[in-house]
Amino acid sequence: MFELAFQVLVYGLIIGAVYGLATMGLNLIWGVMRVVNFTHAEFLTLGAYTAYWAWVLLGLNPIASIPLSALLGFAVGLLVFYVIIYKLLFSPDIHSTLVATFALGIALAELMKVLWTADYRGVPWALGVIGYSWFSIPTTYVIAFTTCVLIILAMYLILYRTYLGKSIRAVIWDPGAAAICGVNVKRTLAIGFALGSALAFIGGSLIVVYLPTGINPYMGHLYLLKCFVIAVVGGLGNPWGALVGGLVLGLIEQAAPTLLGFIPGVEPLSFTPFIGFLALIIVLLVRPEGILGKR
Amino acid sequence: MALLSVDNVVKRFGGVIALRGVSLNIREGEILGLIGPNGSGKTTLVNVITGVYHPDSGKVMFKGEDITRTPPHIRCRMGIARTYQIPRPFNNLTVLENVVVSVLNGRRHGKVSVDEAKELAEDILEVVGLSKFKEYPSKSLNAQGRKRLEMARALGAEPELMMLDECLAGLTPSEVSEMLITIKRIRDEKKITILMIEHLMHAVMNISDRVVVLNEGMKIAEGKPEEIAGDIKVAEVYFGDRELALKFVKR
Amino acid sequence: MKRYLVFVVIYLILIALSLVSTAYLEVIYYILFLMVISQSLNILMGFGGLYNFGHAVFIGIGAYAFALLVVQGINPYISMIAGGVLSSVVALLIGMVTLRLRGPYFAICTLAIVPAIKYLIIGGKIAGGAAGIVLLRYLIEAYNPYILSYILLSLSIIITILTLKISTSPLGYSLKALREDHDAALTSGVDATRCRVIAFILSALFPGVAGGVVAFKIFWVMPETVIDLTWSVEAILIVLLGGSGTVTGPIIGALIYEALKDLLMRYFPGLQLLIFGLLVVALISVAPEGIVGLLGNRFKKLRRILI
Repeated sequence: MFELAFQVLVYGLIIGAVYGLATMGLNLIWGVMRVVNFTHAEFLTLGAYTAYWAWVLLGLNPIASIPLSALLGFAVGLLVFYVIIYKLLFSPDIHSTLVATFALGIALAELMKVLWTADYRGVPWALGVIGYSWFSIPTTYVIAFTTCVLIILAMYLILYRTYLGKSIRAVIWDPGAAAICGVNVKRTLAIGFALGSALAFIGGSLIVVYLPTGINPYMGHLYLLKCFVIAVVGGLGNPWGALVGGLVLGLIEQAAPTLLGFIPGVEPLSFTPFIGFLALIIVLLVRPEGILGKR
Repeated sequence: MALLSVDNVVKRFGGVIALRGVSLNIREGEILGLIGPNGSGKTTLVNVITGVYHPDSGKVMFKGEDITRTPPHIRCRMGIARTYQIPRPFNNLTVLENVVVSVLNGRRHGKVSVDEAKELAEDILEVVGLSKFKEYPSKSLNAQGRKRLEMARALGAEPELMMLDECLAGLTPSEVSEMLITIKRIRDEKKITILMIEHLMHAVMNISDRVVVLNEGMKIAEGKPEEIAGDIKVAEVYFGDRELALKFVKR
Repeated sequence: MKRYLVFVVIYLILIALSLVSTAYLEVIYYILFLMVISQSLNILMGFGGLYNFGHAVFIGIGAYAFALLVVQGINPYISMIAGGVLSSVVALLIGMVTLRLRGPYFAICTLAIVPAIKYLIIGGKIAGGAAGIVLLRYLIEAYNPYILSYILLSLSIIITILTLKISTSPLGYSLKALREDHDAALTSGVDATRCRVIAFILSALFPGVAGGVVAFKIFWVMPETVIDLTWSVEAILIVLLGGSGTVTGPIIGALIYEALKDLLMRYFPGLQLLIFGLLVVALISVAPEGIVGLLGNRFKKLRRILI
């Protein structure tokens, strides 16, 4: 019993941390400019493909390809922001950016299908397992987790120790006041978006470690809903909320199949996603700003 | 009996205490001026009265009824209307349609047809001087037009109490005079009680029957305009300096 | 009477085309389906300003209600109506709970509802779970594609009339006010929750009946086929394309959408979604008021008949 609980706990935290990192971008973009970035899914997918092609063409493992993902993600984010997002921020309909990013996401997914086909691809990077007699965890998972923590630390340093980070936080809090204090709001928004997109790319690369064979153009959709659950549960305006939400979802995902197995007539693997959505819906109704969010 | 009474209302936002136990009465038929420096809690008070915020403690009574927890739209139907400091028109609706909304949903809710509402709305536009703009999309109005539309929309609900939040801000002196005349007319002809938040001192002192002064969430003075003008506490709050205030008051 | 000319013309053309051949009938059937789901969404989205990504759920519920009744031996057409009623009831329940959410939160929540219900049915093994309910033997004799299409046509006509009525009714004014400025509407006396719930229920009724029609057509009700997020997205897209909040918008939008889909399939097979995605981004940036809105702005005379 204890072994099972321990396994659930460890796997939940380790996977949850990466989910959290993958979602941080979403939270950041929402916090900075109140945009729900539906293209997040495709950014994740592109990050995963970056890891794949880095593996196939350059022999880099997913962790080593992170700098590449980050740079690409940043560039793509800037492009998308300046070409599409910026104009729509001032549109009277608050759903404009939502629709635009949704449509862009669909377009990008199809582009990937055209370029790289819908075949499932994988990055079979394995380094054995770390473990004791009753507990084992793939080494790669642990490495991914560690990298995740490092990146989160880096984000912390950026957000709290650099001028850029402070500008971003200022804009999140009050764009008008930030502008008065000399913050170049448009550029800050652009960098905020680009940072969010870079985080999504990185998240995608890391997810590949847990997903050795599942890379395909539509994988983003599966994770998008997960990310929304995480983002909302943790708190949309707060980048750290993503981590909290990620850990929560990670734990739920690991614990649910086992617990649900006890309920007769329920098929655990399909029901688990439902629990996730239930959590999302409940949080939206009871405390829409999530655990850490601000109104 | 007071038309509206606010009883020891406290409102906090996180660590900030916007209203620290404010009490005041609004008497039927009067024009009550509400003044005070920025951030003193005037708009918060109006938001509490209209129901947009719930106070953390204290009561709001309207015509003898406790409305502290009543939803905003019900309060409107009971007879409380307000304008917004920064006008908030229903942008993609015409000027006429804006007023029709409040006619249909205000005191005559459920008792008036759309056509009747349109007629009533046209009359109101006449009163505020927007008749010739009635088919224009409301987003095309200029600053003065928007302020007038705010007032027209509030009138549409046929309120007994109308709260005007800085309705004179941004108007030229002649526009201010016109607006003041309109406000007096509304009180005299339509028997509507008025609460006016204003910064324009001469306007408020000119038109109000009584004045209430707020500072940092507390009421610091209440009385007739001439009493307030001579009140040292009030002057101090505006000048920030007791010496200067004393000099001003002595004059 | 001139304002109704557009509708009469379009409906007559659709009827005429449907009689040409069975191939044409198929296309018209699908166009009518799109019209029904987007016109009904327009009530909530166009007037109320709420983007309901979960609109497809109502179709699914209607389909399942239809299936469950038909296997009990109940007349299929009555089952369809029952589907509509059940959808409305579910809308009432969902609505009372979700409609207090604003803008993007509402969109995300409704987006989550579609897979949530799908997984609930599959995981909870409700109504046949993933395998669904097969209706072939109950319906094969009564199957008549013309009747099905004309049912959709009738639904569309009813929604058109309803939408026209709403847009000049107190409910219409209230919804539009809420859409423009929620708080100002409240202080003007608008009962936000009640108005939105009514709009929500009305928007659910018709997809519910249409769900029954779909189930009839494909003879088999499965979570994968009848609870499809694509329909929500198509409905939203068509409303935006045609002109959100207008009465002719969704109708014209559906026609253009189907024409576009067909064109793309012919000349750019495999690239449709890509081009569509980019077109939508362009649409929302350049013409957020849709085709009807654009035409109405350009040609003031047309505005009267396009509403």
